[in-house]
Amino acid sequence: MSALFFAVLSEAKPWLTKLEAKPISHSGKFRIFQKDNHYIIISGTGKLSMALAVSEFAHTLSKPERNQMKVWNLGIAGSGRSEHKLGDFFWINKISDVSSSKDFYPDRILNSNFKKETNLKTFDRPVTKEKQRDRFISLNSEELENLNLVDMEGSGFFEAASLYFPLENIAVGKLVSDHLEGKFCQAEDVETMMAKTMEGLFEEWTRPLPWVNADSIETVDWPLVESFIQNLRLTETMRHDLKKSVRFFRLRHPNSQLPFPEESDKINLKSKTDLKNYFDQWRETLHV
Amino acid sequence: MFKAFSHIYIEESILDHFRTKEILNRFPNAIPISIRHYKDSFNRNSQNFRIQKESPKLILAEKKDQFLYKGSDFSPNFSHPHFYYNTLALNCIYDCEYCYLQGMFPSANLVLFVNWEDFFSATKEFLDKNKSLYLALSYDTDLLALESFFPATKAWLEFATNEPNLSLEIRTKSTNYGQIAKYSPNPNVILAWTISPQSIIESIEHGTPSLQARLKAIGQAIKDGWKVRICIDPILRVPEWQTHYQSLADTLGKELNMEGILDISIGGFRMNIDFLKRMTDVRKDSSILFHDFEKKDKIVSYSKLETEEILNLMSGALKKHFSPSQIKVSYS
Repeated sequence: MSALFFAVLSEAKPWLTKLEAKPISHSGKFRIFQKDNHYIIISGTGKLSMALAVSEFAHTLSKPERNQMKVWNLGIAGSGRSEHKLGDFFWINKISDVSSSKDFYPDRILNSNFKKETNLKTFDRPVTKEKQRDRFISLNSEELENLNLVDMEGSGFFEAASLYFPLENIAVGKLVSDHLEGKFCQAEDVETMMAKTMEGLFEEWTRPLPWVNADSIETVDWPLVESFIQNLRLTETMRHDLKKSVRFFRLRHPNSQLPFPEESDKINLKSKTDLKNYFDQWRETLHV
Repeated sequence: MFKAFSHIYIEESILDHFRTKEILNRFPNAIPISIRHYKDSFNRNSQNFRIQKESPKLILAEKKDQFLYKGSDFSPNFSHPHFYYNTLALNCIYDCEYCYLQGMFPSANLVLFVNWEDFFSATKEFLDKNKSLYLALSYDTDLLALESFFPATKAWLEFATNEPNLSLEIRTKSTNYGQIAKYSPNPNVILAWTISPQSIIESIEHGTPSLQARLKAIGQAIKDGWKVRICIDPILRVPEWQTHYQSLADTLGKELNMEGILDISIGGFRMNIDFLKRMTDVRKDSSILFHDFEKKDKIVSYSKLETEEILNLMSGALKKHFSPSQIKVSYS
């Protein structure tokens, strides 16, 4: 399962085409596209919109689904570095929110064909190194000195995503669209650059997370036990302890049949003490 | 051996610290990331210890306070009135399935504090005031295992030579004895090796040196005149544990010079109940963690009967080769 958040449609277009994703019908505000277990979400610009989109999407999923989901934000970013070329792609290992002074650290755990990494600063408005451009924040030379990439969504995405998804499932990647000249990028240019990057990234995005594996105790053993205990009126603590005992047995005896008490003994359980003894004896057979 | 670190987080205040630079030089391919405070990275919510352990990162930081902590009740104090430990590093490069660090720390990343001089000052101050200190140096980490890029053990051995009232215990599973072999043995320093049967090392103590390699390092340390402690702790009730541990006792008797051993500390598995809960939440593939433990006063351990069985068997097996006065029970 994987989800990909973009700010604007031009960034998403090549991905939507490649995935052959279709918009899903839902009652929310944001556009969500889907193909099988893969989702593309378009938030609109700005960190607040991005955070809201993450939140809205997360609420369409159950917690187990969220735990298995790879969650990415990709998009364009301005660069303060002349050595960065237009179209260069970077994974982000640190995001600083300029207005709140909060820092976030996306973990880089998985290997990628894209090796470059850098940090990102998220501003509330577009940024320029030129002086007094309408709708832009002008940065002075001191502010530009330690600046790598800038965007308007990264911190909103990461802060929201880390509330709903495991940290290790979240990644942020940005491609250089300009050098802060104070002009808005043309949609066609963004689309072209994004299409080029997508060629190498699509397979990485759709590949399942290596740490998401089916737990055979949850999927095979425990359902059998649940069916056996459904009439037993075990307390929550007893169920919890039984599950741990089942796990102990399975880890020690991967190829053996799970021991169950005699089904016929169930009818002799008249009191809580009977049940407790029955339960304790069962657990003893599991701890061998 | 551990993999080289792919990323190194560095607190802004120590970016120019000479020790930071030395460590960075050891990992030229690591990506440096500046951070304001190590806790901003290390203490984040929702980190997965197991997944991080697959690709641990290094965090370089400055310890601002608390240079000495009172020893935990889980650890033996060896009858010393001032039993303390310090934390020059947090976390370990090894991956033992029973390790409490998995439940204690939110992150598997390794934190190294570079301001050793502040630790020395605080220790000196304590010694001036209290006249004696038994300091466990390698507590929430395996310090000697880090020696090749974080030579703190050497620095503490040098510090200890001028502090006769300071007793140090340096506990390890590593075979890095060679890193400190050039130092003259200090009677106030105990080199303590935790050992286990080879089958447990292979199946449970992931990434640690073999029993034979550890015994070789121990043998050399004894030969060189160091006080050596052997820790068979925790003793684990794995299948056929009796055979494995009896055989371990025999191997020790055969391979080590009895006179060279200060003591042999033995103890069964025990842990803070909250740590175990956190560990089992993420490490579901280790049967030793799902034993039917006894719970008492926020501590989980083997039952009284099981613990007695372990300690009786182990002390009996060791007594064949070592003097009873050398055998110490660390937790019963």
